[in-house]
Amino acid sequence: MSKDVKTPMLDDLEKGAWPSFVKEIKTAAKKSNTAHDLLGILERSYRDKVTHWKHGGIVGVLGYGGGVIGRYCDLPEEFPGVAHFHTVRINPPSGFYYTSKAMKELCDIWDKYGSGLTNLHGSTGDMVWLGTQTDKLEPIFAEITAKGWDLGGSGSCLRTPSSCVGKSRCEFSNIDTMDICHTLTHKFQDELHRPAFPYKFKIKVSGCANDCTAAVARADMSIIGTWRDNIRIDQAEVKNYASKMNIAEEIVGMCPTKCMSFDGGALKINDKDCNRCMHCINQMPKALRPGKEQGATIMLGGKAPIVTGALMSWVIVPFMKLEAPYDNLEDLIRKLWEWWDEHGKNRERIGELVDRMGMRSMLESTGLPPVPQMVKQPRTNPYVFWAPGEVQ
Amino acid sequence: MDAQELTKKVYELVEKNQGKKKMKAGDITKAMEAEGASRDEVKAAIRELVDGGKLVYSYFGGSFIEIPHTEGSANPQS
Repeated sequence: MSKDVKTPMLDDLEKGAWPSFVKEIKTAAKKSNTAHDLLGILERSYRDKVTHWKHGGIVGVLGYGGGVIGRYCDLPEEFPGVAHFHTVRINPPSGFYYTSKAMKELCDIWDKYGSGLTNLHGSTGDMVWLGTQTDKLEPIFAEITAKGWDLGGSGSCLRTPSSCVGKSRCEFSNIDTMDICHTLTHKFQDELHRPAFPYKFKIKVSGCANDCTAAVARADMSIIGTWRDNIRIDQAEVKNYASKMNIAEEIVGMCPTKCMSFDGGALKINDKDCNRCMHCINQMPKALRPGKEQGATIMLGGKAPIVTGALMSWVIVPFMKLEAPYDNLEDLIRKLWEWWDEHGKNRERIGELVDRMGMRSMLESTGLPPVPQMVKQPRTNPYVFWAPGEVQ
Repeated sequence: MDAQELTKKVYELVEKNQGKKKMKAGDITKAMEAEGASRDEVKAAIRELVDGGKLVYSYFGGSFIEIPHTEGSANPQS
């Protein structure tokens, strides 16, 4: 272990009532040379106001193009413990359920081969292991796969699909999110481990419009549980809520589509105008429940601002029945990928491609019918452009 | 084109471009499709080469396919 380093700037980040990553790194540094030198290089970066990391490269495990993110430092003599500081992504169980035994096994492997530092979970959805060397990657891979785990996605591939806890704990869930996530992960093993796309593609599955995975803002494909019949109402429970809350103000008054009315006795909903936002159901869960005809709204294009600006997902299929083995969903995803593969530029997300080429190209390629729910904003010009084949 | 010939052509394409142009899986697929191979056949050829260690994936702001080499940025291990 290199000599002790003074870290006055990092020490400042230990102050305050919130948890501190510096405190955690210091704890790990007591037994890990990598964590020890991480403190040193971080302090140095804060002082120099430049990063000392070099990111990317060809490190990985045989046969896989993702799951390991190469990282080296540019001061290896000064901080030998972080000369290599590769990140390993572990594909988590659907809904992020771990047994204590599984967690202990994973942590033991990581203590043996790496810094012991983790992100649980990174925004990618994977369990992220921070800081190991090139020669440790194959042994890590051998040990995790022997226990039934696998690496997650990184690079220009399908990233690890993720889901909310769905029906396992949540009464609002309209779809079996965990099963969908697990099934898609198995169907798309090749796309997950062998990067062949123009750029990354993320799938996140939420059981209802509360969207606990934040899919709409973060996923290229958001699968959001919904229903298409009527909200189920228990009027006796509505009366109970009426004695505790102002339904006219807090429920009816805040309905975004104004599809509800309450006369002091019964709550009425015009379901044709309801946009399934979940506000009323969240506020009065004993009185209101989603309808019985359940499925998902499929949305496309969400992303953070990396190459171009941030995008929110928009609807491409208002309602899709989702039952195992989800062949209809797989078919749609494969058609979208084919279109994106054909036309996408390097580092162009699928939402950006739709923006560049227009919905028409995507719809023609996938065979999806144009529907009013796809309109995300008023049109900005009055012209209608017809394809040559559409003009008689 | 049989599978063995396709695999050879894929390797030669990557070799020819090594150090000049970073090849994505999509670039290789399009080049081989132009020579009559199907998308699935190219995918299988790439997989065989990567699983055999003759080609590797790399990441430089996007994923590419290269011939294994020592990275300039790789530090000697401590």
